[in-house]
Amino acid sequence: MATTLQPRSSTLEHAPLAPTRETSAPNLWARLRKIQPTFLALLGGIVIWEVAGQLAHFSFLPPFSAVINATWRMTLSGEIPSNLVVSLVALVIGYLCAIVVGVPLGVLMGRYSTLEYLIDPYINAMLATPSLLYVPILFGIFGISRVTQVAVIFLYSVIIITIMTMSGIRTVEASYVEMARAFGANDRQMFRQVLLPAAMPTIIAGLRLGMGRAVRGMINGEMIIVLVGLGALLRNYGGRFDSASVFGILIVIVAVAVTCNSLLKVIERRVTRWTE
Amino acid sequence: MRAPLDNPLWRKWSLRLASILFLGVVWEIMARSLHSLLFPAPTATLFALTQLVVTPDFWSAMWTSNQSLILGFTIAAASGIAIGLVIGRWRTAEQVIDPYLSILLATPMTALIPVIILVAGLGLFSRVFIVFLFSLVVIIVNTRTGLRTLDPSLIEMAHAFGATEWQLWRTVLFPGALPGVITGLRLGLGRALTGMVAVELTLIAVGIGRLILDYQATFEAPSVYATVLVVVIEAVLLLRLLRAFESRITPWVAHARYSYRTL
Repeated sequence: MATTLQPRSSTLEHAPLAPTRETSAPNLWARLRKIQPTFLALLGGIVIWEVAGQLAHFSFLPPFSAVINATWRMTLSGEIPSNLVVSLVALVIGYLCAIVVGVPLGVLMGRYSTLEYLIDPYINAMLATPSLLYVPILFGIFGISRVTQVAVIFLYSVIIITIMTMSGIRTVEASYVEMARAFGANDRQMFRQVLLPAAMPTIIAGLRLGMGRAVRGMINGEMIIVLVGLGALLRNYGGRFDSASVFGILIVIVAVAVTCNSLLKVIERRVTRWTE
Repeated sequence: MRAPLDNPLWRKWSLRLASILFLGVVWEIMARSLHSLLFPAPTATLFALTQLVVTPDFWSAMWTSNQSLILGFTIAAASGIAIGLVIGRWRTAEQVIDPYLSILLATPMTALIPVIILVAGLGLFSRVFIVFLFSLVVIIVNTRTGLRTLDPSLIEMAHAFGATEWQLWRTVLFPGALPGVITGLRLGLGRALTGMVAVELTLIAVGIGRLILDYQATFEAPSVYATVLVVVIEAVLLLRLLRAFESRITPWVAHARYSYRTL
């Protein structure tokens, strides 16, 4: 008797009410198929690069194989790894300082308009100017040192982080704030339970933009203050017009930028999971 | 009668002014007490600024630098908008070009400067090309976004009324993409300014960059700061101009509080 009974859950299996682990994360094969055109386009580009480089013998466009060779050579000789580590250390320190300063400042500026008006003129000026100009100024203050490079990275990214955080706090739904007040929330509770969680997506978006800016600042700063790091390496090889090595280093830099961005995307997805 | 401090506009501007004055005073005191060769006081900087604007050398440097800016930016704007519109409209074009756009966005263009100089030499063409490269990608990407965020029902409606491709472009696509295009132009202008300065500070010492380097070499810090201040003022003025232009062309768009990247 018991074997003829169909379990009722069979219908539920086909239409789950809540997203299960399997359905919410796209599986690997589906993801691979989606990036197929991207992959093909890149592959096509590499092929064209190789062919053009071999045929045309432009001094500025070495064939892709030459670029790979140069990259491999620099990796083996330790030039790329050591400079990469140096650059990344400065990047991490500068970026973390920018977060530590930018997020609290942005939260306070978003909440208290007095503070916003006080700091407002500097933010506008710094937004408008080409960030590259910070380098001669910081160079004048700190001289040729790693502190300058960390300071450049810090300045490049802190502004966008502050602005996005402030924007996130200010655009929290007024109804949430009113409701919290109606329930008698004090300032601290308001911050922790209403403002910060609601602003989190925008804050994280600001962190991603800040990371992109930080990488840019890392390279620009190192290229002008030629001391150590990937930017300095780039400047040296550029000065010798060794374009194969320059492209090789560029590939490493782009890989760094893309990796950092992907890392932040993963963090973003985990933190804002409740909004899905 | 409300007290002046209640008036929000008065409050805003008085706070801003107070903040700037406060910083100026602090900076002045710090600079005077430090007596560093490389950390000038604001008064010295402003004085150097007045000296700067009367030297003809400065104005010829400004002209040299801005030549590359104007040429590079206009070419980037024209081609960037065109490419962005094509990519936004036709999906296949986008799929092919998109990975390269992502790569170019992530590449620090400063790094390409030595390679470009190797190709094109040290003249105006290289500087124009570098400014062009710096600003092209953001213009393309924002134009595409502008086209993408168009309400698809508008396009359907146009098709329902029997619009040809050209009419579609003229009445729906162009106006709809305009806010995105203007955003792209604004961001592109900022990047173009960076490009203008970057090439002059690193490899081709002409124009404003050369001035900064010269003053740095002779330790004339007030003049270094004054020159940087000039570029900052130019940047702010140009962006304000663009803002005003934007208000006239796309009056229906609400202004974001700060004009940052909206990618």
